[in-house]
Formats: sequence, C-alpha cells, structure tokens
Amino acid sequence: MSKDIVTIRVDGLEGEAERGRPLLAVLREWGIEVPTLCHDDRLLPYGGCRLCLVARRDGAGALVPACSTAVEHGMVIDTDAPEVIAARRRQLQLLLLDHPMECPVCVRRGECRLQDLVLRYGVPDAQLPFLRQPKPRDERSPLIVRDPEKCILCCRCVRLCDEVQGVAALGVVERGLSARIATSLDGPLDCEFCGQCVDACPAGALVARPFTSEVPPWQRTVTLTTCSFCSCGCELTVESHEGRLQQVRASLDARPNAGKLCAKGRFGWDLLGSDERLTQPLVRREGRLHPASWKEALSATTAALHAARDRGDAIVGLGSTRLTLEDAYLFQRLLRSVLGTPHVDCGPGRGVRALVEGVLPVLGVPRSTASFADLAASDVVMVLRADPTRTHPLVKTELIAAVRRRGQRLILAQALSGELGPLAEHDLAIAPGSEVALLYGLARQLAGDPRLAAEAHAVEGFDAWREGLASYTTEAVAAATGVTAETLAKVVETLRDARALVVVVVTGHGIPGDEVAVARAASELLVLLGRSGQAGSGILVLGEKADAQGVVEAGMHPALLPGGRSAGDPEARALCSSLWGMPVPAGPGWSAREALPRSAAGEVGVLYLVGRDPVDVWPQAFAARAAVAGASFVIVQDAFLTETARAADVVLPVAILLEREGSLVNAEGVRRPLRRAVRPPAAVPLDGELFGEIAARLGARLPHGEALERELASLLAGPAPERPRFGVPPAPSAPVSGTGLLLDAAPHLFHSGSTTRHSASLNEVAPVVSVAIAAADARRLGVVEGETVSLVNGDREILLRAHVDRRVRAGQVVALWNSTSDGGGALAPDDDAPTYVEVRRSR
Amino acid sequence: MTQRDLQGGAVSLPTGVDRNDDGAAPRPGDEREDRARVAVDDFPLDPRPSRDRLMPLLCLVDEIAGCVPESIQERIAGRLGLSTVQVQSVVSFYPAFRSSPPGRFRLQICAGTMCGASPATWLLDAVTEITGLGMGEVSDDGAFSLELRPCLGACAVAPALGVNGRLHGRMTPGLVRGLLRELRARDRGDRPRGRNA
Repeated sequence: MSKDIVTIRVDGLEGEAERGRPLLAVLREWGIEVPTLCHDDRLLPYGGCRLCLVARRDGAGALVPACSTAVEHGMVIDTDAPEVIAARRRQLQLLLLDHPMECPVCVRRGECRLQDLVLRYGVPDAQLPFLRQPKPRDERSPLIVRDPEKCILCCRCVRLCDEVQGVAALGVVERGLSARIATSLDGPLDCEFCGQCVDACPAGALVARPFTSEVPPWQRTVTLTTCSFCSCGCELTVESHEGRLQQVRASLDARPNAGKLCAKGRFGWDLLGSDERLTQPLVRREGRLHPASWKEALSATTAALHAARDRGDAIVGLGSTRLTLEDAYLFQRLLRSVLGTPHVDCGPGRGVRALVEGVLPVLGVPRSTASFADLAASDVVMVLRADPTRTHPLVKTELIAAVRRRGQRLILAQALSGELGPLAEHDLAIAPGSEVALLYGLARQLAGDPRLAAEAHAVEGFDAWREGLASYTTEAVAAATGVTAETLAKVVETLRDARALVVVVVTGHGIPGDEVAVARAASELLVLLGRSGQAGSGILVLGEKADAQGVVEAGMHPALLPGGRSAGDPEARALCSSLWGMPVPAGPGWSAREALPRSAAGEVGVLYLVGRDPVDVWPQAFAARAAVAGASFVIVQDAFLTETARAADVVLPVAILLEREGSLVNAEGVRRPLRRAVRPPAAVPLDGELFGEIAARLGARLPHGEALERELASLLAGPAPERPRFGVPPAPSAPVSGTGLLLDAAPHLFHSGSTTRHSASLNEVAPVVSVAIAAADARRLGVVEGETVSLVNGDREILLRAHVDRRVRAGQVVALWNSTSDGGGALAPDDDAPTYVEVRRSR
Repeated sequence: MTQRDLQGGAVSLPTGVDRNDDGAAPRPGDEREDRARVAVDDFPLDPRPSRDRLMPLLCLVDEIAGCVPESIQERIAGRLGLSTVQVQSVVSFYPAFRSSPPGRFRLQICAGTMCGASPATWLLDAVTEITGLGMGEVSDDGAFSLELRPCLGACAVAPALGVNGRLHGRMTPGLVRGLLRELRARDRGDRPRGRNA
C-alpha cells in the first residue's frame, strides 16, 4: 500500500507528511516542541491532558489536540501562537487546582514532567485557588507506592497496564473531582510489578519504593546497559551514585524493549548488594574452605590445571549461559587452546541445546531465524512449551500489541499455567510434553497438501521424513496431546493461511518435554510450509538466560567452535589454531550430560564451573553432587557460595550482571552492549579477567580489548548456512499421565533460577518457599492460604507454604525450581518427563 | 402516556428505566443476587476478551438484583476476561449503577431541566426532610434510598419522583408527604418476617 503524502503548513513552513498520521508524531519528527503529559507512543491516542493543543488556521476548528488529530491535506498549524500558550497555561493551572505543591520535597523532584512544564509555562504566577481532594496514600503493595493526591489523571499508568502489559491492575473509578486511580476492589496491587506505571507517571503519583533515594537525579551517573536475566536483552537505563545503584528504568527509544521492563529487570538488581555475595576467594585446606588471598587461590587453581594438563587428565569446563559473549569466547579459548581440552560446554543450557541440536540440523544454522520485529509484524505466531508471560515478558507484550492492534492470530500449545490464553485463536492446553506429537500431527496433515509437498520435495530427506509422519495419525495425536481432530484441522488451516509465520520455542528448566525435539519438529514444519528462509517468518528460540545465543556464537559448546563452526571440521580447527597460535584439540568434546557421569566415575581431573551450580540447579538425573565429589579438583567461579561452591576446592568470586562489561547476544541474534553501571561490593574481577590471569600463569596470553574484538570479528561471521534438510521423526511416544498434580517448576515471572533468590525485592513479591495451587484443588484438598503443605513424589518430599492463586491451572502446582531442599526440582527425577506430585496437608 | 395523564393531578407510570415492581427490593445475599450470578455465568461470550459486552451485562444484573455488588463485579470481570477494576470503573462512572443494594423503595428524583425548573429544588429538599436521607444514602431500616437521576423522561408531568420504577408526576409537597407515608405503611405490612433484621 503506497503512502498518501500530503502537504501541510506548520508555523509558516510547508512540509510533506503522511495523511492520517497523528499530527503530534509529525510535529515532533520535524523538531517542533509540543508538550504532552498523557501521550505515550506505545499507547493509543488519548487526548486527555490537552497540553498538545495547537491552533488550526485552515478553518477547521480553532485549538485542536495534536495527539488525536490526523494529518490532512492543506492543514495550516500554528504551534506557538499566544492563544496556544495561554491554553496550555490554563490547562496546567487546572491540573494544579488539586495538586499538592510540595515539589522541593517530592520524590520526583527534578524528574517530574509536570514540574518541568509548570516552570516552562510560568504557572505559579497565576495559581488558581486550590480545590484539594484528600486521597489516601497506598503503601500496602510491595515495591510500588501510590500517592493519588499527586495524580493528574493522565491515565498513562492505567492504559499501559492494559494496552501494553495486558494486566489492567489499575483503573479510574468515580468521576469529576472524585475521580481517582484505583486497584481492583481497592486491594493491594495484584500485578506483574513490571513498574512501567512508575516510569510512565509524569508526576509523583507512583513511586518505586526501592528507588527512593536521597541523591537527586542531577547528581546521578546514567549508564545504558543490557539486562542479563532472560534472553530478550532489554536495554536498561541505570542510575548510580558513587557506584551504588539508585534507579533502573528504560527509555522509550530503548531497543528492543521501548521503555518496557519486567519485575526482574527493574527490581531484581538488589541481589548485587546481597550480604551473601562472595568478596574474597576461598581455598580448601584440611577439608574445609577458608578465605584466601587472590595469589593463593590463583596459585592453587593454576597448579591443579597445570598438573592435570601434564598428566593428561581430563579437564572439563562448564560455563553459564549468562556469561558475556567475550567471556564465553575466552573461556572456551582458555580450555581449548591453553589447556588443550575439547570438553567445554554450557551445561544443560536448554536454549543452547534447542539451537544446536534442534535448529542446526534442520535449518543449517545454530540460531533463531526470526526477530522480535518479525514477531510483532507476522500474521500468525505459534508459541510452544510455555507462556512467555512468565519466562520472556517482552515477548508477551509484543504478542499483546500484535493481537489487539493488528488481529494477529496466536496459536498457544503448552501444558502449564499462563496468561495469554484469552488472546489466542487456538489455546491448546496440551498434555505435558506433547508438543512434538502436535507438531508432527500438524505436519502430517499439511504434507498432504499437494502444493506444499511439491515444493518441500526438493528438500533433502523429505520422503523419509514424510514416511515417518505416517504414524502421527489424528487419533494418535489426539491420544498424545488431548487435541481433538476438529481443533487440529482448524490449526492446520490457520498455519496454511499464514502469510508470515513465527514459531516461538520457549526454553527453561522445569518445562516438561524435550526442547531439542520440539525445536527440530518446529524447524521442519517451517521448512514444509516454505517459511524457513522467508523474510518475516522463522523460528525464535527463547533461551532461558541472557546469552544463550551468544555462548553458541562464542563456541562454548563441545561440538561447535566460534561462529557456529563444527568442532569436527578440520578446516574450522585449522582456522582457529592459526588465529590462536596453538593447536585446537579434535572435537567434539564431552557435553555436560556426558561429562558429569564420567566425573562421578572418577574420570575427570579438573572440573571448572563458571557461574554454574549443578548441585542445586540441575535435575537429579545428572547426579551432580556425585560428579562434583568425583572430580579430583573442582574450581567454581561464582558470585555466591552456591551448593556446588561449598563442595569445591577453589572458589573464585566475580563481578556479575550490571557490574560487567562486554556484550550479550539476545534471542533474536542482536549483540547488545554491557557497560559497568554499578561497582561490585568488593574488588572482584570480571570472569574474562580471571581467564586471562589463569592463562598468563600457564604461560599463554589471551587477547583483550581491541585484539579480542578483532578475533571475534574474524570468527563470528561464521560459515554460510547449510541448506535445510529433514530428519526422521521419532515414533510417537506413549501418552504420559500420572496421579496427583502436575508439578510446574518452570521459571515464573519473579524468579528465574538460583540468582534471583538473593533479591529481597523479588522475594517480597513472590516468596521462594511457596507453592501456588488453584482454588479448586485447594478446596478439594482442604488446603488454606498460608499453611504449610508437603509435596511428595515417591520417597522425595519438600515442605512449602501454600498460596492459592487464580492464575494456576487446575490439576497443577507451581513451585520454584531448585534441586536441594525447598525447590520443585528436588522432586523431578529428570528434566524432560512431567512430574506429578501429591499435595498433603502437614497437620 | 394517555390524555387523562396529561390533564392534571397525580400520575403514576412505569418509567421504563427500571422494570422492578413496586414491591420490596432485594437485600444482599438474597435470591435476586443469586439469580444475577446465574445470569452472569450464562451470559454469552465474545471469542476474545472485550469490553463490548460489559454494559449490557451490567444492565442485566442491575435489572435483576437492583444493584451491582462488588462480588458480582468480580464475577463479571472473570466472565468477560476483564480485570475487576475495569468493571468498577464503569459501574462507578454511571450514576444509574450502584454497588450496594438500594432501599426497598428506591426514590429517584429527576434532575432534568423541567423537573428542576418547576418550583426549583423543593422536591429534593422535601424528600430529604421527610426521610432524613442524603444523596445516595439508604435509611437505617433499609426502607428507602435516595438518588438523583439525570432525567426520568417525564417532563410533561414534572416535577417527578420515581419509586422502584414507577413514576409519580406533578408532585406537590402534600402529595410527596402522602406518598412516602403510604410507602412506609406498605413497607411495614408487606415486609416478610425474619428478613433484614
């Protein structure tokens, strides 16, 4: 559709603009100052504050609000006529009728949009008599304080909460002077605590309690960096003072998040100042860990590595998917080139597995092929495995906007509780772990389409693949997934009609099912539909941690060298060894899944764990405790004394999250910068600095600064993608079932794993030692809010406090994952199969 | 409206605003509220959450229960996929909706131009004086509640007073006094035993 360009005249100057666009957007693009209080680019025009009034001189009315006036041909606009200024001043005077004038002591001093405009338009000289309405302050909610007396009823908070977040925890009640922003039944806030409302408030009516600071805004240091929790890679604006965190927000031009953050990304950072942070290295002497100097700890570390290398003992390095791209690269380079071991992995990084073992064999690249922009622009999106509301909140907001504004058709296939169901055209509450059966069932029907089959026929492996699909009959799929033949046929139609299709594979621990098989089947479905190479379509694998894509690019994987090159490819090895000046051991090395049992069997000399806590976080099936005990020497590099660190021989504390520099590659493959925004509580190094130091002590040099960037630049481009090919579908697995309630230990909105447990803010919103249960199940079992219940699976039992939650699906319980005492993971025999538990009242 | 109605004297007409009978209005938890709950649960849904069906459903509940209590607002929100505060927002915006039960006799004073113009605001003052009720209040015994309605649409017979959906036009101070006395007497006689202790 071609744009309809018309000519308009603004302040005596003529220019061209697109017909129908909001006048405000055009004026601002032209650099003309138009004040607003209620406007937000992410929201529908509201026209509430009347500050964007401009004069129309072409006979179509006098003063019009620019935000809700569409551009028309021949418009003549005056933006700074005396009557415009007078109208704005009058409007501000009316707003101040009911506003407490305590600006010098207000928490918003210096960053208040209302105050700015009042100063700009000179209102205090003409204050109208006050007409104050007393409205009580609401301090009952965690993290957010509401001060309705300072509210100017611009409703940005109300509209953001509804239009962007899809929560609608706030609304306007009453009318006229009694109108006020209220919560449901005037209770405490029951919301996602994303804090968007606080950022949006142009006055001081909403305050983030953790960010109330004595330090005025103009004395703070502002740093733009990237969030390190999930793999969305949202840009953060971090305000600090003398290295200490004052406030976290996001600016409207931040990408990819456009001002949006989630509770973790905004409020979770207080964990950096946790008392439990390690401030100095620990070394095991006479069976116990003792504080040690850096010199002693590094000597012990290098001695152990040196000895293992000389003896030819296996050295295994497992790094976190939250490591920066640079640090992950240096880690694998230290292991491969300096220590000569091919055994480097990111542990059971579920997003990484989906990319490397699921997407790569089919699409020829170990990365997502769709972007967040594609997600927003495509007409059909299929979300598999879990609701991104809880795992990747930014993705949720993109889907809400796309469905509500553009009528995007959403297909949801997941077993666990979520919030997106009502928006979906097909909300398939499938049996846990049955995504693969669903995908192949859909593929079997679609492959019956002669046109699709004819096109896909050219792709390698199609015939064998199609043959393998034969067993995924409608009946078999219905039995495995619970999706009826009728619904399945409708989903097939929706997929067939898609002009642009994005398939989202959500990953994270505790989500039942095999992410590799799902990513593979989803990739094959895209190839069948001819959407794998099409712009605007593709697969989007959402890794559970910030740099899941980055560590793949960095080669922190037993089968891959940097840039996605195969570790088994002699040419790729030759390239790396020429660049590194040292031979690269023949791969592939052991994956974490292979290495841990070997370690338990005593085959590992040094186990080097960076930001990994297998004892606490990995499923029982990995027998991580035995693996740590079985290794001759264990090095743990972490910010906290984790369960694994307690069993280590050397513990090296490091800087994490906002304290780091480098970059992260988010789920859509965009490299995003990390800049040190706050100072670590003690002088602890970056992970990469430690790798460099250890290499130096072993007589080698690792690059840093520009040299490192040059190396990355020459390797990251990677080889050209291979052509897509089909694999052979596995035989349909038997439907799973169990007695009791399905355990949902997948990440949820307020906690993603072990790190967030140290955040007092997040714990205030969602205590970690709780289990959420649906009201119907609570009634049936006689469980009441707040009582202690035990969750039992076989001979394993954990005690948690019950929380009755309307968001939880009946037949399920939600508990935070971790494998030790109080986490749902302790009940899960392995991470793929669904776990069913019995809930017992402990009295 | 017939010719006879226009010829003077007190008139009594259905307002069309509120189809309750002249009988006693409900108290919380009674059978009408239960019926309203059923009506909410049976209300047809849009395929996707939307506010389009909120007004018709609120009108239906108000018609059945005489008010939209908070517990039913919550239920409506659940049924339509809205948040409770979004429902509260609409209920509190319209003076026609109330969240607490009205009196058994719901007195509605017309605030339209004609009723207001015919000897000023004496009708409101008179009702307030006789019943002791302020705007929006319910009497302690639950017999009367008083509210202002934007217009009852009975300008021809102004000033008008609505009582549980029946309209009493051409009010005079004497007629108001007599009407309220009669209602009070009917309330004592009609009130079922044991209810509304």
